[in-house]
Amino acid sequence: MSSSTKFLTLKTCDDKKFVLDEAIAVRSQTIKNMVEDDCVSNVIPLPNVNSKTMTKVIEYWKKHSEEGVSKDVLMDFDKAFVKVHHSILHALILAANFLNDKEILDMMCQEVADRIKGKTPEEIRKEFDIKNDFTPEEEEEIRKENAWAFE
Amino acid sequence: MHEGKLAIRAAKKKKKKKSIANIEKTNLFKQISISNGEEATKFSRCKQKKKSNQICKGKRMSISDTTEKMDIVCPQARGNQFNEEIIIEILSKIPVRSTLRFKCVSNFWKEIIADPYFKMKHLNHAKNDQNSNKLLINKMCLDKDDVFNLYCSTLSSVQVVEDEQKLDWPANCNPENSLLYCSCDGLVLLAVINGFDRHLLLLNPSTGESIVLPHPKSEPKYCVCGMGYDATIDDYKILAIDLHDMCQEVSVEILTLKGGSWKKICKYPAGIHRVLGVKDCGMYSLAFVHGAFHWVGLSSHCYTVISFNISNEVYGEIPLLEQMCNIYEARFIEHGVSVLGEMLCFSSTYYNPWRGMFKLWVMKDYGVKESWTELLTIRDDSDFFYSAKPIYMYADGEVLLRCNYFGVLSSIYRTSREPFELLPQCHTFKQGMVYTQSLISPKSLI
Repeated sequence: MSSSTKFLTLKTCDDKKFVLDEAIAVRSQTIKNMVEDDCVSNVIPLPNVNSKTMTKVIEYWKKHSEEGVSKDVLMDFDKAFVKVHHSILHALILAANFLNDKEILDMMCQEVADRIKGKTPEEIRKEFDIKNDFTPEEEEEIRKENAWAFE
Repeated sequence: MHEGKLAIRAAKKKKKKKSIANIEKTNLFKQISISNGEEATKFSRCKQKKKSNQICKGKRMSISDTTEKMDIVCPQARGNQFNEEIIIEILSKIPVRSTLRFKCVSNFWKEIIADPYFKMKHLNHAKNDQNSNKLLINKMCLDKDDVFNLYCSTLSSVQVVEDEQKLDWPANCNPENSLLYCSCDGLVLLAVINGFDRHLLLLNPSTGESIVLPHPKSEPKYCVCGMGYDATIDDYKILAIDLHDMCQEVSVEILTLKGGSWKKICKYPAGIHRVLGVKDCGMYSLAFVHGAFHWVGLSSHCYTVISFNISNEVYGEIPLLEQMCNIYEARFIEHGVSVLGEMLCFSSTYYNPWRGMFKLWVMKDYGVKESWTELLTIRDDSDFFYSAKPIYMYADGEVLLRCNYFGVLSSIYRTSREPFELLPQCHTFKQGMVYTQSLISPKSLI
């Protein structure tokens, strides 16, 4: 390992560039694999991530890479971090999935889980833009089998 | 520390899954880097669309599969289009009741929730989430009922627990007598008894699914049982010990779930005498931890912990510190073993007129005698306290205890720091046990 800091340039789908310490950027397993496989040229394109989302991701990476930051501070930071509009939440999940950052993915999925757990199937379909592909009879059957879950 | 068969399977599958996913991601990356952002967005949208049409459990599609679909005109990519992997990730963090309701969302979601891989992932998440644990209560209120009823309740030590929910007995049996033995990976082992009719059940209290297991030769009322996972044969085993009949040799039987029949274990360690628990506080369930069942025995006037390895079926002994097994000047002493936070625990209740005392020790480093640490001491100056059993340890180290008092038929639940009562005081006989809420089907284990 060289002692000097190496920087990587990440380019989001809306052509914004982010210059980032490699040590921080490799929190993304995807970027880490690229660095290790030596397939990093000058700029790493992130075609699935927009700059708004990437700003959030980097904010998280930097906070969690700070030295000497206490657990309590990080917990408060995480709590505030997930309190975002659901469109940003979803974008962060897709970005974390693409970047293969298990930590962010886990935290964001937990937040979605907490938000949806009390909802009805209709509300879920609306939230996730899912088409109901059951016949009314099929749906009735599932509801009957799991009646107590609908009480 | 084993996480059960499910965990191992999940880990294997996950590893496989992850590595494929990684390759896919890297490929995707390389491919996308030559295209512009818009195409890439289309690309991933198509990929997801195909996934949701074709349910491919556990299998990842290769890039070449998806590129064929590239010509489909996809609408603007939307943030709410998640692939299977992400949906699994989200659903695995949702309570059982909600996941059952979400089977109704679509065929795709229904398939995910019914998938054994998903159920394992869900269980493994639940095991690490304190909110997934519930208390199962088996009680008969003598003033009102003539049968036992099952209830579940939350474990919160803060709120006064009043959210008891009644559960249905499997196959509508209304047992005159019923015993909870142990819980393991979201399942509870219990006996239901109606006269001479007795059944050993493996129940998932969260889904209501159950199976009837073959019966050991011993009378269930006098058995102590434990259940654990044997990683060497990828199967669950149940150990039943009859500690009742002091005249006979101790009967030890073991059942492998997939094997389906009980086998007698011939020898019992020489020179170790059985110890009977009073009521059910001491010894109804064997403590399963570190791949072995544990219970208390008496060897040459000193208490000891006997272990039985689930894989090689060999007995062992866990050393106790001298001060743990000393017989104090007490009218009555009871010792028991249990598991709290994956650690073996040894508890003692001493009773003298006007004073009861409860001590709890944990073995921080399994098998290392010096690592026994005194966790808590409770003194009770009422004249009634005579027995206690640790049930559960909260994240902050507080311990939930079931206490028995003279003159009170009912057990009383309290935490180590403050008393809290679970049920209105009527003449109730009850047992309680903590289980993890899971979707695991008992049928899938035999």
